[in-house]
This record gives sequence, structure tokens and C-alpha cells, in this order.
Amino acid sequence: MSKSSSSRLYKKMGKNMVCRRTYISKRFLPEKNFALPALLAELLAAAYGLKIVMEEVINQLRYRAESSTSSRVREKLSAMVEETARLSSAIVAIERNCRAVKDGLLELTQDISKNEAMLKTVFRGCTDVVFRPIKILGIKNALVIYVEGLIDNELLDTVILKPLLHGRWPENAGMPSNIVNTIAEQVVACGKMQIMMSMEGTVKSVLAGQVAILVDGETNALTVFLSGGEKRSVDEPITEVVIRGPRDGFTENIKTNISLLRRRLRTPRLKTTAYTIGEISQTKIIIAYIKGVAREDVIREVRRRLGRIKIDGVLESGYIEEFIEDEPYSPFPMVQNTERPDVVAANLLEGRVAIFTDNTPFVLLVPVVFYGQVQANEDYYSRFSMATFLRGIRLVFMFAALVLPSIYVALTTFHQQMIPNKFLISIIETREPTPFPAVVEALLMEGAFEALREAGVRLPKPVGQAVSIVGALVIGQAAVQAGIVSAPMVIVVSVTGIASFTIPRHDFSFAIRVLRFPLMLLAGTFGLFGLTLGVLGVHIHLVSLRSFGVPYFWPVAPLNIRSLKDVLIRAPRWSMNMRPKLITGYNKLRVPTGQKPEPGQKRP
Amino acid sequence: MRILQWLCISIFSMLFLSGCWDRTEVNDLAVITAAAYDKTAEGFEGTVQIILPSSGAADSGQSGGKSQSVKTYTTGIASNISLSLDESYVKLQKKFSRKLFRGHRRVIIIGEEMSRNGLEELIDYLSRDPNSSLHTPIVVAKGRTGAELLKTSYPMERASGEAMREMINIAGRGLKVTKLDFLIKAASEGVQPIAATIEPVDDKEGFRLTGVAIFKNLKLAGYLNNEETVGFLWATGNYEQGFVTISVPGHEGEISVNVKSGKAQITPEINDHKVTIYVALKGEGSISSNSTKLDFTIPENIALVEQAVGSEITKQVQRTIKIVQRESGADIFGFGSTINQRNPKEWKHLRDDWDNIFPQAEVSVSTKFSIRTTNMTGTTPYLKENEVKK
Repeated sequence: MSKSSSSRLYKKMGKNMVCRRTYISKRFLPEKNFALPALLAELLAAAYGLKIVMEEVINQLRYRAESSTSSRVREKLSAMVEETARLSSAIVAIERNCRAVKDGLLELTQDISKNEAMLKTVFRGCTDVVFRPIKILGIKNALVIYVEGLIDNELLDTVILKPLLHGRWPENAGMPSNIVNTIAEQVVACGKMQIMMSMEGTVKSVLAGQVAILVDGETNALTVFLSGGEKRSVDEPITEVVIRGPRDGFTENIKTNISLLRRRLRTPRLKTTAYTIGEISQTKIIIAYIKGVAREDVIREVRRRLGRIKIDGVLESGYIEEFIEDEPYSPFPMVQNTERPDVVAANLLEGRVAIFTDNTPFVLLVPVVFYGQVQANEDYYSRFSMATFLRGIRLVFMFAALVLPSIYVALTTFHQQMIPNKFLISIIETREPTPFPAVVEALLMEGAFEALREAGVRLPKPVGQAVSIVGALVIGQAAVQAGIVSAPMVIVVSVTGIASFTIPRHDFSFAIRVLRFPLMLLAGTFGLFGLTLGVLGVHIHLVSLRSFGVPYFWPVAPLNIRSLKDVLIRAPRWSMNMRPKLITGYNKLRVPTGQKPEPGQKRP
Repeated sequence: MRILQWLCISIFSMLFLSGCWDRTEVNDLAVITAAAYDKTAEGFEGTVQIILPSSGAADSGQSGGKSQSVKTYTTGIASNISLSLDESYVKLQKKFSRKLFRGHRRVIIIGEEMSRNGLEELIDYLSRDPNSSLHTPIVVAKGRTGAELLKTSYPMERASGEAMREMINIAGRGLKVTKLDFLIKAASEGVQPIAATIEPVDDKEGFRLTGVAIFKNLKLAGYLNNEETVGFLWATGNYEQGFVTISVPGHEGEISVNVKSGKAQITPEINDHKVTIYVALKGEGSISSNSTKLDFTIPENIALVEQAVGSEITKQVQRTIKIVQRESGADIFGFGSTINQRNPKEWKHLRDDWDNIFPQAEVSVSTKFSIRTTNMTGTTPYLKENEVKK
């Protein structure tokens, strides 16, 4: 490396650092009078980012120093390494100071006016945060802080403001020393409350929908849980409709969701543990499981994976799903999501773990197996003959959705002997005017169908139905008449589309839909041989998947005959004695034997 | 990164190493429905019949029109005898803009000349070709070349090849000789192959099934017409359905019996180069029409009918066997193979001379016929009470 190139490298690094700094400053300093703690937080983030860059730079330099041959270059590079190491340690010091300042700033003091000023600067610009100064019993200054839309205003008046303003103190004289505790224990008539000792905790709790009460002379703050505000009512979930079964679905409020689950599993063994994930969104995540029924190592693994997540905001459970799933590159879902509380309850009874996320009705369930994706909820509410028949149809059509267009393409292109005679003649006739080979036609039509499906999702309701019918009939018919595609192809595509709609789980059906296309390509180039290879490949991939330690094709792949009762058939309820072996913990028996229903008397 | 590189390399190499060599679009195929092989003075002649599809989606929106045109094409004639069957195929292909596709061949027609000449090359050619299915029926064109038969139009079906195949299917499993059956019989000891025969109807459109052609050592040895074929089917146990009309002695009028099933049991008896074959037939049927005055609610009358039917069938079968023994001397009934199955040691002595022994063999046929039902009425409904003979 010559001198010019090394200086180029240095300049490039410098330019990077300059660029990065401007980038951060432009984005994260919105106004001139910024709140000091917010700026410190940004500086902290910037310092942290710079530290990372520095470390990377040092690594790069070291690597180059080791790998270069001339000693002069090595000297220069080691000099640069020292320089950057010094810079990096300076940045680490800055980071430390920032943190100290930030922590130091945000401490509750005994003077309520100072606290008020600090909180007002923190919440500067947030007009929906209400600061209500009151005088407790006309004597003591206090401050009530809350976010207007997140709490129940009527309750606030009755439970907090009224007792504090007009209420009665306990008999022992004047103002007791520990006012906050007295308020908490004897004055405020509310259910859940907490005592916060830091500014950060107070800020977090106010933003989480609680009411913070600060009293003059105390360094503790009292936070009261009075959540209210607008909520969606519990309604039938749109994505999972059943004919028979309960019609409540989860909403965006995590408390409501947990309560819906509690209603179904009234046992103290249902444990719900809360986490907070997301730096800016501070989203509450609750994992729920039945102790003794769920496997201990699965619970531990879920906790570990959740604790590992570092993200700025969690808006939907999908974010969590992508962080905790076993196989990020597989099209098949490793984590199940559902909107129905009865599904969650049933799965918890089998030994799974549920993950609730605030602000979304979709609850995650782990671990998941292949056959769980093919089951619909109604299977468990209908009688077993109906459920078995429908399950058989679903399995057959699931396979058809995957391979039907590929079979058509392979047979007409490579194996015409396998097509019955009359059918072959009619295929030849209908394909006379079409210009494309079968593969191209199939890919075009399938692509168009997927596009239509995607478009149908976004259309407003009244238009959507019409367009889907119009799309299917008119466009397909017009294309056939124009001679672009052949009629058998339209039939194959529509049957495939219908078949893909029979799959109950949406993300699983996506996997099947997306795998159709490579299989079509394989079938079009290598015939049935290629199709077989493709299906084998998919199969091998599926069988090698594991979800939280449970093999994906259990109980078929590691064969467990006892658990096959729920796979291809759905055995009657009175015969499903044991919980699924690999998913459950030590408590296995769920339905004792000998409960097959019979009439009381034998027929004479 | 490494995975990506590996993936790219494998995909690229796949493109060069292989791919799509067998790919034929459906519209690039000329589907052969029937093929006819003839022998002319200059060599072999192969004729194929293909389906010409109509032009597909018409303006009325119905795909696949009803009208189909079927054309027959012939080859040029190849001069070299030994390789000629393939060569004629190659010459045929030169006439078509699409690849000839043999996978859906419905029948193979052999002209009379070729049958008389010997089918050795044809059988070898047909059995080696992986493209033609072994389950294709073989048909002999009686009295004319295969090309002429193929050119006969048959308006009921799209292609006359299809019509021939369906005709043979209806006729039953005794007449449906596929290539496989032919080969098995030709290769087995003690039995000679047959093939169904079709000839065109004079002065009219269409053709009809007219019995079987008998082959002896892969050369045409004779024909059996439809009545004689009945006897052949009985003797081989392939008789599936048919009618027998008899008259009972002592009563005027005729009775038709619908035979529903027939079984045959062949028992050979060998005394020192003198072969006697006992053919025991068993049949079941029902009475389908009656113009006598007999009352069939009485079991004795039924027994009369059974006996009469039995003797009629015996006569038929005996007649057929005599004709075969006299005219062609080919053991199409499989008596030889039955002897081979039961007494293999004696068959070893008889085997070489079977062509001479078979025509001299004494065959005795006996039939046991049982009538299962008299269908809807017991007596003839238009007779008054006193006219019915008990």
C-alpha cells in the first residue's frame, strides 16, 4: 500500500465519521430549545454509534496491518491504530459522562417545583400530558401527572382528586412524615398502584397510562393504575371465522386479552410473566403458560430469546416472531399466530407457550408443528366424523395447491402418454391458438392470480367482492377467447386457487403458494422427475425443521403412534387421553380412559 | 456469501449440463391413432392415421369444436426389406410438421399379404420399440391391405382406429388380442396366436368385426367367421355373452336363451401318441324369448331346454374344432399348453410333432347348461290357460 492509498483510507474514515455525525444531528435534533435529557440521550446514542464505528475501524486497520507485507506500511497502520484507539477511548469517556449526566439529571428531588420543571422539560411538546397541581387538603402541594387519552377521567376525579382534595386523613396529627405511603395505603381508593423512586420510572409509568402523584417533600412518586381511553370492543376476529365456536377475539389491549384467556383457564397454574421490549415503544409483552403442562426448557428458551431482543419499537407480534423463530430463512412459519382466545387456551392446555403483545390482537404460540397448521379450529368443536372428513379434504387440497399446476405442466410437456387419449386430443385442440409453452402459460396465470389476490386484499369492501368475481370470470374468459391462455390452464389455476384457500393458517398457505413457483419451473424443465425432486427437496427441508426443539413433522416424522390420533383423523374427544408427548411437560394425562358415551341401557 | 456463490454456481452449471431435452409441446405432436403395416412387392408399407385438431377456441367461446377432421397418410415405399419398418417410419415423419407420437396408438392393423408372409420382423420391431405400448390390440384386415382398411371412413367415431378398438372391446376379452397376448401366445408352447379380423362393409361406410384370423408359426393359416368364433370362445373359456336359439324336440317353435357366462375345462388323455381331449363346458343363462307353448314354471320343461341348449353348444364347439383341425391345423385353443401343464413328461414327446398330432386328436365336447331365470314371465303371456302345454 502506498502513501496515497493509506491517506485515502484515513480520509474515507474521516468522511464516514463526518457523514455519520451530520446524519445523526439532522435527524435527531428537531427543535432549537431541546430538552436537555433528550439531547443527552441522543448524544449517548451517537457516542455509542461512534464507538462501534471506531471498533470496526480498529479491526480493519489491524487486519490490514497484519496482512500487508511491507514494514513501512505496517508501521503507519499501527500508528493509525494507536490514534484511533485513543479516539475511541475518548468517545467511551464521553459516553460514560453522558450517561452519568443523564442519570444525574433525572432524579427526583424533594422540591416539587424542581421536579415539576424537570418533568415539564422532559415532556416538552407533549400537549396530551396533563400536569394538575393540587393542594392536598389545602395544605400540601402535590402534582398529578397523567396522559389524557390513556386514563379513565371519571375515575381520576372520584378516586384520586376527590379524596386528595377533600378526603379525610387518618387521625394522627398534621402531615405524617411518609405522605406517599399514607396516600397509597389509606387515601387513594384505587386498585393497583406502585411507588416509583426514580424520574425515569415516573416518566415511563405516566406514558404507560398510569397517573403519577408527586408530593412536596418526598422523593418517591405514587403511580396509580387507572387505565381507560378508547378501546375496540371484543368482536369476532375477522381473519379466523368459524361456524361453530366462541365469537370473541383478541383486541389491542393486552389487559383485555389476558382477561379473555383467564376466563377460559381459571387456574392459578396459568402463569403470566410480563416483559417490556422496544426502546422507544416500551411495548409490554406477556408470556402465558400453564405450569406443569408446558415444558420447562421451552419456557426458559422463550424467556431467553425474548430477553435477547434489542429493537427500537415493537408494533406488532410479527416483530417478535421474526426475532424468536428458529428458521428465519424458511418459508414455513415456526411460530403460530392467532386472534382467537379459545385457540390459545387449547394450545396452552397441550403444553404450548403463548406470547401476548400490546397493541395487537395477534398472539404468538410456540412450539408449532406442521399438522397444527393444517388443522382448523372447527375441527375441535365438531364431531369427529365431520372433522376427519374435512381434514382429509384439506390435506388433499393442500397437496394439490402445491403440485397441481406443476403436474399439468409436466404431463403435457414431457409425459403425454400418461394423459388419457380423449383428454389429450382436447388439450391439443384448445392449445392450438395459444402462443406460449405450457410452463410460461402456467407461470403467467399463477402470477396473475397472485396479483389479483393481493389486489383484492387492498380493495374497499363493496368493490372487493365484485372485482374478485370480475377478475376470475371475465379476465379468464377473455384471455381464453383472445387465445393467450388455454382453457385447461384457467381451470387448473382456479382449482389451485381454491385449494390454497382451504388451508386454514394464512402464513402457512403463503408458504405453499410461494413454493408452487419453483416447482413449476422444475416441472417445466425436467418433467415429473424434476417435480419429484422438488417435492422431495421441500419434504427434506420440512422434515429438518425444528420449532423450539420439537421436530416440525412430529408425530409422523419421529413416529409416535399414540399421538397420531390427531393428525390425519381427529379421534373422538373421549379417546384423546394423553397430551402430545414432545410438547408437554410432565403432566401428561388429560382425559382418563373409559369415557366413551353410551346409552344407559342396552337395547332389549 | 459462500452459500450465495455456491447457489449461483450450481444454477449456472445446471443450465449447461442438462435440461429440457425431452420437452415437446403438446401442439408439436401428431398423435397417431392407428397404424397399418402391409407388405407390397417392393417392401414394407406403413400407414398411420393421425388426428387433426380443429383450430381451438372459436368465436362462439366454446373451446374445442365438435367437428374433427381425420386424415390418413401413407409413406413412400422403402426398398430394403430388413430395415424397412424403421425406414418407412422415417419416411413417414418427413411428411409431417409435427413429431409422430406413438404413445396413443389405438390399434395396429396388419394387412392380409403381410400376415400370409409372416410376421417375424413386425413382431420384433413392435416389441423392441419403447414408444409403443404392449397393450395395443392387433387387428388383421381380411382380404385387403391395412392401408385400405384404414382409409375406410367410420362416421360414428372421430377416428376409425378408435372405432376398431372399441369394437374389439365390446366383443370381449377373447377377441381382444393385444401385442402382449400375441407375443405370449407366439412364444408359448402348444398354442397358436389369433387376432381379431375386421373387414369393411361392401358398398357402405364403415367396417365390421368378422371373426378371427388364425396364425400358425406367425403365418396366416385361416379365418374363422363369426359363428365359428363363438365355438372358439367357448372352448377357450372366454365366452362372455351371447344368444343361442334352439328348438325343443316335440314342440314347435323356438326358444332363445341368453347365455351369461361360460367356462371350459379341458382334460387331455394321452395313450401312447393318441391324444383324446375332453372339453367340459359349463354355461349359465336365462330364457330371453319363447315361441313355443311350453310353461316354464314347471322344472321339467326347463330341464328340456337346458339339454337342448347344451347339445346345441356342443355341436357348435365341435364344429369349430373340426374346422380348425382340418383347415389350419393350428392349435389355437391351447390344448397343447394344457397338456404341457398337466403331463409335462408326455408333452416332451408330443411337442415336436404337435402340428401333426393336433389335427388327428379326438376331441369330445360335453356341455352342462343351467338356466337361472326365465326373466319376467314364466309362460308366454299371450296364450290362454288351456293352450299352455304343461
